[in-house]
Amino acid sequence: MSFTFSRCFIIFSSKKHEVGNVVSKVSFFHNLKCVLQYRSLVALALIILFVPILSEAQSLTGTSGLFHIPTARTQVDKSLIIGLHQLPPQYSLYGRGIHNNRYGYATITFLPRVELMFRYTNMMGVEKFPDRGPFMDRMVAFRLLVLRETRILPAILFGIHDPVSPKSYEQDKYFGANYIVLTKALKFDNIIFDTSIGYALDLPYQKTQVYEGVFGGFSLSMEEYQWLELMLEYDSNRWNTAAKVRILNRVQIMAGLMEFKRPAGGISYRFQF
Amino acid sequence: MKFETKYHKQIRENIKTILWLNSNMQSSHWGRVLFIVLLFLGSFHIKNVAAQGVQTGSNQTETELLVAELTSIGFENIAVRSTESDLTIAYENRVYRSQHRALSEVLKTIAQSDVTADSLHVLMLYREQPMSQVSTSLADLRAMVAGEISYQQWQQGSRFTMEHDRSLEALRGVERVQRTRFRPEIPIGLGMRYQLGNYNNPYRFAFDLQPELRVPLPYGVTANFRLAIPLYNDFDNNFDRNTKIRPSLIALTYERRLYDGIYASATTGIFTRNRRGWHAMLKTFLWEEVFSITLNGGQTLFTDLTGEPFFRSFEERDFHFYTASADYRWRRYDLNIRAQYGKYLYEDTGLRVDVHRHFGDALFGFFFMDTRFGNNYGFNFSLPFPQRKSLKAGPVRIRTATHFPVVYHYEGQNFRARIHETGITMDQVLMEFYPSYLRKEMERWF
Repeated sequence: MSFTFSRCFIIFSSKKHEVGNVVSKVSFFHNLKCVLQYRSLVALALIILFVPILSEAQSLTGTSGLFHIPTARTQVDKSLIIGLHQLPPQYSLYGRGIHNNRYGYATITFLPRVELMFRYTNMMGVEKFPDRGPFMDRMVAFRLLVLRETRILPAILFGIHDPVSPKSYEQDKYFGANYIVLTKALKFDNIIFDTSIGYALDLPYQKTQVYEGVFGGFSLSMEEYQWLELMLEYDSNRWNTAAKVRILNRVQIMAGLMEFKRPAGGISYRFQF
Repeated sequence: MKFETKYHKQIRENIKTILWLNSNMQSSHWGRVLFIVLLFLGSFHIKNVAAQGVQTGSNQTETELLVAELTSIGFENIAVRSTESDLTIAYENRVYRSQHRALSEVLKTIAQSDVTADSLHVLMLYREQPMSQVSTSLADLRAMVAGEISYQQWQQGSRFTMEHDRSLEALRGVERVQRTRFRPEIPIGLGMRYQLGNYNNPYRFAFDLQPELRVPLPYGVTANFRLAIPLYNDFDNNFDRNTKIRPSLIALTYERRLYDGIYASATTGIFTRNRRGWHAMLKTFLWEEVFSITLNGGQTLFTDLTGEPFFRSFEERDFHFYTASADYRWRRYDLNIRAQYGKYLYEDTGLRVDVHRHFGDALFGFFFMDTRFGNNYGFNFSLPFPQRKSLKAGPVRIRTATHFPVVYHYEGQNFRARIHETGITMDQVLMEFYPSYLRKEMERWF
């Protein structure tokens, strides 16, 4: 992994590079294909790796969660997280099936049990005319922690993403999600097994789009190395896997494979007031 | 002799400041106006400086030494009354960005002084008006500063309140030291106009540097004169006037505490959003900072002195406005919930609900409105500028503004429940003096 990233760094600064032999060149290109596709994200991640700051666990949607699914975890009170993520077009209604989604977001723990998010999504690669620019979409999300986790009971959370007013029902709505999710942490020796299971449903005038029905997943981390998390989840449509690295409890770098095929990920930074 | 030398040095520095301003402000019409006003006011200040605070000799009492120490930090409008059992001190802070930091510095200075008293009452002022008060045992304060007791233990035995009639009575007739009157300050802020979401051009911004001349006058009156100096504009640069240096706010504002828990403000001048006219506000606290009611009213006419609006044909008329609002403060979380109903600018009538919370010195919130013109919602935040402490009092204090506010409306370019800036700041500033907020925020300084 470190060799791959260091070679990526050289590639960013020049388009040419040399490797030892043809076989190495072919395998090198094959391995680096996904990294080169997201080289701007990777470069940003490398830069921030060496900046001593702190962060926490966001999912691809920008809210607290595993990779693509939400969990019943919320950030510490008075946290503000800003991030930049990218999602392949096959997994977003906003990509028309052909355009990557890249989005910036800000998520705030407004109260200890209330998390709010604002997200601005860009449809990548849309042909630009002189009088037109890239297509952008705004969305907000609201999450309420109904029950805190206890020794026996799981945490329970209700969330709603991209709500629209009844008057504009389903117009410009691409990221709708309404769900209840339960999360419980289990500890075996020094391994922490954080499991979540949830259900997404339609609400009056609020159709759920990103998740439909049951979803769930878990993350694995070691007590001594909680900065690294490995995840496996089912987001009601497909199985995904990912890893998260947290640096100094401020920066989070996440990368994974949607459907075990297509890479997605991003980076975020946490401010604590 | 120490203080005489310090004030003479101050006057020399002041003259250097005036000469620097002269060389930098002559290039624009509004810059020349600002300079002449500063020069006029500077003459008042030099007269004030010469008349006050020249302390000499070694026969100063502990109280005088305490006052001298507070003035050397930069606090103003300082008044002290010392009896056998009580020490009452009033001060105004224009040095520190946050009031809780200023209060902590005052308390530390008092604790480290040689004054003696059983009870200490510290009254915080804003534009010469009393805002909040801390009452404590001087012995407990000294124990806390020395680390013998924790901050939690000290604040449990202390009283933070917005009731201060008794302290005002105790300070009646006491001369104020280092008065703010005619001592202007120039906070330099940043203004932003923007638009997101237009598919033709998704990011459009206009940034203005906004130096503001704020001159405290007697009896709670303040004169404000703010310029907008364009730095970058791809938002409304099709209007020539918006690309030039122009006034942003010119107002004469009167703010006063009428009785315990009742504050009144009135202002007239040229406001934001191309309005000119007058605005009055009355705020009443029913139970400390928890419940309050605010009444607003005013009349505005159109002006293009501050720039060119997008919809001049609609805005080029008179509007009067009146609203009533009820506020609830959830003290545990420094959360404010306001429900406001009435007629807003542009003759829009309806309900607006604002929820915001203090995150330390920052503020985050969201709002919703349901009015005659339709629904809308959005969020706002106010981020503090990095400068936590400005220069000490001088004839002209130049500093950064305390905060950078941003408002986002889900649907922009409309006239729903719009509010504009008129120079009245009491409503927002009072929140920085809320007892529960001070109590929580001060802990980090001890």
